[in-house]
Amino acid sequence: MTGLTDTRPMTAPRQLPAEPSSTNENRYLLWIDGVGGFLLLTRQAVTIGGPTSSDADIQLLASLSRRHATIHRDDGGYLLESHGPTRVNQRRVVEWTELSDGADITLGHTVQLGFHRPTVLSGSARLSFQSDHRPSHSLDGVVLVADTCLLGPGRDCHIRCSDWEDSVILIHRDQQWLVRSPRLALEVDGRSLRGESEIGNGQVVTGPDLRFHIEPLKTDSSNRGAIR
Amino acid sequence: MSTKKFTFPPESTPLAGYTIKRGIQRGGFGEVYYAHSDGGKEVALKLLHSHAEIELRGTELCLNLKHPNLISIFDIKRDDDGDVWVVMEYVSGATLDRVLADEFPDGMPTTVVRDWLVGLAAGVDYLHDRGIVHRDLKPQNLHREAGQVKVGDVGLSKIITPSQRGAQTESIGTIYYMAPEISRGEYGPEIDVYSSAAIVYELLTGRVPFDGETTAEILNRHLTDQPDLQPLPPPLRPVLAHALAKDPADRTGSLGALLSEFDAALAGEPVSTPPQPPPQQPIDGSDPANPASTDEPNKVTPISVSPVGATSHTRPGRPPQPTSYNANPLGPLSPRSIPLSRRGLEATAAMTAAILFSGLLAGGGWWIGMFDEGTRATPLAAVAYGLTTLVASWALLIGTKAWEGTGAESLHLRRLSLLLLGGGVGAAGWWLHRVLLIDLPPLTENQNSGLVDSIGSLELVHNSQPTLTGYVIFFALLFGVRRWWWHTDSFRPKRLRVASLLLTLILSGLLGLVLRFPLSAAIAWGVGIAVVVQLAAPWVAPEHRDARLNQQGATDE
Repeated sequence: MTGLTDTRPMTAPRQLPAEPSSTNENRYLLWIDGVGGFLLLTRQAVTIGGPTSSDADIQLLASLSRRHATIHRDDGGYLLESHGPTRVNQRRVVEWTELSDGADITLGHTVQLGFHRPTVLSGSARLSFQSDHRPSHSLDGVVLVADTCLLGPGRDCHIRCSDWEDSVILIHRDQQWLVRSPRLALEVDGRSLRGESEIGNGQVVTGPDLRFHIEPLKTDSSNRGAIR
Repeated sequence: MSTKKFTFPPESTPLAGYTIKRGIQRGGFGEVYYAHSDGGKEVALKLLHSHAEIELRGTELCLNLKHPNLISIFDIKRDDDGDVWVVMEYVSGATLDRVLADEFPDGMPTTVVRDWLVGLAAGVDYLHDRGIVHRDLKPQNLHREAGQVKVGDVGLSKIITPSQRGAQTESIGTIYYMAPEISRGEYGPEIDVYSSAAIVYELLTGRVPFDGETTAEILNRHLTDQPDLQPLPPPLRPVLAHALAKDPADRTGSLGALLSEFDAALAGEPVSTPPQPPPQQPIDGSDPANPASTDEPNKVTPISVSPVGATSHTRPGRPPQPTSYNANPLGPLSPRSIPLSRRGLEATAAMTAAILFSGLLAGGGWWIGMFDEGTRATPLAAVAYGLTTLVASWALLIGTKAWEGTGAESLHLRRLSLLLLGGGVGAAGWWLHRVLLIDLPPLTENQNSGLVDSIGSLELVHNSQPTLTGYVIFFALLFGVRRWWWHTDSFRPKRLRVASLLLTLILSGLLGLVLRFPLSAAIAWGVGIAVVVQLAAPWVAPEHRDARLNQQGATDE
């Protein structure tokens, strides 16, 4: 039943991209000392589902359908497509709605996520966990990476690292992660970094008062420590 | 807290069975990592620096404590190098020091402080009930996950020998919360009460009660200085003075008792505290040990000030509900202390403004021809109207400003006083119009007979002009029926409320009809006075009221 406050059902004005099935290359974990653990998702379309879903990109321990909602990124911004009961800013989503910075997403009755686009300089966005629903391990947030992911002390960063002296830019290009910092002297596995530098699997980036690394999220059941 | 120099890199496994994912924090006598066990369990691993003398015997006393407000310790292990690791429950929420620094650098609202205190008190009282003293309570040790407060490092300070708790190995953070008797080697449960009170002080004000350049200075201040209570909300001053008492025997008995006193103070009840030791003379010369004015004998009774606006309606003894903070904002009936100087200043400012507004009103009335109806359409009619409005506004401002902040008590007395004031204003208005030889506009046709024509032998109307009695009764009722203290209170809902103007308009119109007071004059005065007092009386926007309370508390002395 639709009420007056519902978003109007209509055909999406833009063609929603087809969703390729999730692969390891599109999901990464970023571990930052003193800050937290974050899921980095690089696909155009990101699906959120409950614990029984095997192909959801964000699999939450929550009473949700297998594919509850999908967040699509295109040139104009972000669209949320609902497959199960979803509200954005308290309005029920019928089919789809646009997401703008600061939007509150409610999935089912209890799961609450915040949607943030802290800077217009990057097409990336962050999802924050507002209810206490998480994937099977504690994560501090999800970044939907379009091109870059900004880490640093400012409020315009995708991941806020309050104690850092300056910001660090993670760049995702051709299935590779690159790192760059305008002002900080960084090292990758002990080698000093000039300009942009690639970060290989398991390589640790260090700098003044900072340390982090990125690992691909393993979906193989033999990797018991992986977050699924 | 520096994140550099974590000993172990990510993905390393210094303790068999656990893979380190990232460092969480460094400080104190260890560093803490987030790790996954081989089975997929997420844990916090605390590495105790090897130079700490660690006595593992007896730790099982604390290892098996279970309480929802305590972070569980799963195990304590030695690795192959002999380093000691504490395997703990991982809590994802931010620590209290982080919350304070990031979200509330100038202190938290009392309701948020209370939320933390409730969890802290439950966890620590559970420990005390089992004979265990935490010894190292500090904001860095308090977490909150999914609304639940979790106290960390339970029992850990016990396994580190006191000799290692000196300034050299201890993080500076602990010094701020260290009870004075620790210097004498006393480690009773009272030290946890003291630390908690220091934490509550910091949460309320954004700074620790005793700060200094060096550890020695801070420790010395814990021993000798009285805490500066001025930055605290006035009702909480005696509560924290009690809990920060130097002598553990004088201190609040438990954290549950601290919470009760905290709630009672916010509900407006006096807190009974044991007599304070003779205050040490603080550096600034003021006397922070005595929260109330030194001129008043009633020192320990807190002035009933509550950021929780509803407390004046709640029964004494009922703790304020956390949700009432927003549901019942500060209003005209919120009791609060206002120093005499501020009252005087506000009343003077309001009375000055009233001159301006009365003048504008009379001038505007003249300009739109409001006084043309009178038998003598002279500028003097506008002057008489304006002066009467001014006198009425002054009377209301002086009366209501004197009562402001005294809560919901003696409202009947207020009405009676206003009734009398109104009578006086009526007499003044009558005299003014007589002296200036101004007639009010004629009675309208439906006023040929009123409900009340005379009181006893005293006529209300003579030659279709109100008599002295008519003026007195009209203004007395106008003053006595409306709640004028709502119109002038700094904490009224809006600066100028149209709904209240309309009510006043209806009332003055009714009074005009009933008492055969010229209708247009009745309404012009009723509405005019209501406009002038509301515009003239100072108004504090709701979001600044908390700050105003604190500020007023600070200027109490």
